[in-house]
Amino acid sequence: MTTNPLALIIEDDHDLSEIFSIALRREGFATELVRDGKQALDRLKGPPPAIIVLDLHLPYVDGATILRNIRANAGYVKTGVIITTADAQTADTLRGDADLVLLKPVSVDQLRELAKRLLLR
Amino acid sequence: MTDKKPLLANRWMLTPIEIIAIIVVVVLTIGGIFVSVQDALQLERALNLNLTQTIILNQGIVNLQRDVQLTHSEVTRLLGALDIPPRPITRFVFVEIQVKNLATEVEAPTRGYVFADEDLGLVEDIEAQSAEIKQLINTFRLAGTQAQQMATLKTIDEQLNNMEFTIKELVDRQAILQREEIIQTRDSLTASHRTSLLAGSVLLLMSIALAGVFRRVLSSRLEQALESDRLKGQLLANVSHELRTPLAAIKGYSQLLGEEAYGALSGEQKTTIQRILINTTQLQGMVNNLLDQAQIEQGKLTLRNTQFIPSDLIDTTYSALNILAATKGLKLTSEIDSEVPATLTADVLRLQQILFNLTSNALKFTDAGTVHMRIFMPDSQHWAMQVVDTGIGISLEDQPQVFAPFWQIDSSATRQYRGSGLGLAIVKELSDLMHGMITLTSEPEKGSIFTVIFPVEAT
Repeated sequence: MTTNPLALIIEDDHDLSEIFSIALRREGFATELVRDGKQALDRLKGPPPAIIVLDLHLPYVDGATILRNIRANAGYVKTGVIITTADAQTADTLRGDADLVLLKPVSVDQLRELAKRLLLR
Repeated sequence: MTDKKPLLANRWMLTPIEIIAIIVVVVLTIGGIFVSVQDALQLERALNLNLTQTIILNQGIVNLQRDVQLTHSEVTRLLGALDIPPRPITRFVFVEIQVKNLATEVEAPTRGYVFADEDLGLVEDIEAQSAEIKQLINTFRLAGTQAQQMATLKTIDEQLNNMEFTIKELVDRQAILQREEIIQTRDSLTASHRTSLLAGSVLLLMSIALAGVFRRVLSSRLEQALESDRLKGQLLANVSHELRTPLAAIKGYSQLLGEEAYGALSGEQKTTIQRILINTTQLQGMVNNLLDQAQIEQGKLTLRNTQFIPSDLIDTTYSALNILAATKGLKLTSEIDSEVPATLTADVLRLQQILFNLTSNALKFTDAGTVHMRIFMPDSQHWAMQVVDTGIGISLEDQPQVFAPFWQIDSSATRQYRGSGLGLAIVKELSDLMHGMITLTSEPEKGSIFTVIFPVEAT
C-alpha cells in the first residue's frame, strides 16, 4: 500500500479547516492541520507535504509571509500551494507566487479538483 | 490733511468718514477675505497716506468685491473716481473661483481681484491658471466615481499651488517696483500716486489670502476624502471577509453532507441539501457582485493577468451552477472550439465572475430548454465567451438598458424574477476594464445570446 499524499491545511477557521480536511481525505489525501502562522512556520521546517492549502488571514504571521517562506524553502519546490482567501484585493497581489488562488467561499468540488491536478503535475 | 491719524480715533464723536472706515474694516474682516488690516496700515504709514485716501481705497475694494460684473471700463471709471492716474495701474484681473460644491458647509470667498501694472506679465498666468481651476472644478462636479473626484481634487490642489506661487512672485515684483519708485520720488510722489500703489498692494495681498483660503478648504476636503476612502476600503475588506467565510462553511458542510460524508441520507434529505446549496450559491454570487460593485466604485479593482486553461473557466462555472440548472430541469452544456489555444492570459478570477454572472442570469430567465456556455475564436486576434439560452429573451427597447446598474426587467413588487440588478452591470464593467467587448442578441420568447470578446494579447 502506497502512502497517501499529504495535504497540509493552514487555516485558522475551525469550520473551513474541517471541511477542507474531510473533503481531501475523501479524495485519498492524508491531512495535517495547522491553525496559526507561527505553527505554520515551525511546520515548514519539517518534511514537505504534497500540497498546502493556505489561508491568508492567520493569527501571528500572515499567509503572504508563509507563502514567501514556502517559496524560499528548497525542500518545498515540488509542493503545490493553493491559496484560499475572502479578500480579493490581497489575493490579487499573490497570484504570481501561488499555484492557485481560490476566492472564498471555496467550493469543495473545486478544491478537490485542483488538489488532484497539482498532485499530477 | 498732512497729519496722520489712527484709523480708530479715541474720541467720543466719529466723523462720517471714520464711521465708513470702521464699516469697511469690519466688512473686510467679517468677509473673511484677508485683509491683513495690519499690512494695510503698515503700507498706509509707509506711503504716508491720509485717512481719506485709505477710506476711498478700502471702499473701492469693497465695491469691487460686491460687483462681479465689473467691466474694464467700469474699473477705469472707478480708478478715475479714486483719482488714480491710468499709468501705474492699468490692468485689472478678475480671479473667480467657485468652491461651493466642493466645500459643502464652508462657503469660501469666491472671488478675488488683482490690480497690476501692465509690465507685470504674470497677470496672464494668473488668468490662465484661474480659468484652468474653474474648469477643473467643473470636472470635479461631473466626475462619476470617487476615484475620479479624488484625482481632480489633487490636480486642483496642485494648480492652486502654482497660482499661489505666481501671485507671490507678482507681489514681490510689485513690491520692488514700489520700493524703487518710493525711494526715487519719495518727495515728489503725489497723494493719488501713493493711493494707486497702495491699491495694487492691498489687492495683491487679498489675492494671496484668497488663494490661501481656497487651499485650506481644498486640502481639508482632500484629507476628508482620503480618510473616508481609507475607511471605506477597510470596511470593504472586513465585510468581504466576514461575509465570505461563513458562506464558505455553510457551502462546504452542505456539500459534504450531500456526498454522504457523514452517513447515508434519505431522498428528502438529499433534496433539502440541494436546496441549501442552490440558495448558498445564489447568495455567494450576490455577495461577490455587491463587493465588486463597491470596489469598482472606489476605483480599487485592479487586474492581475495570469495564464490559465480555458476549460477551467467552464468547469468552475459548471460546478457552481449545474445544481441550479438541474433543479429547474434545464440542461447546462458547454463546448470549447478546437482553435482556442491551450492557455490564455487574462485575469482569470474576473473572467470566472463574468461567466458566472452571464450563466446564472441565463438560468434565471430560462424556464425550459438549455443554457449553453461556449469559448471560441471570432478571429485569430480575439477569443470569446458566449452564453446562449432558450429563455424569455429581451425586447429591442430593453436591450440598451440591461447593462445599467440596478436595472431589472421587471422591478414591480410582484415581479417573477428576483435579484440585485447588478450581475450584468458588473459583467459590463469588468469586461470594459479588461478591454473586452460585449454583445447581445435576443428575441423575446426565443432566448438570448451574450458574447464577450477579448483580445488574445491581454493588455
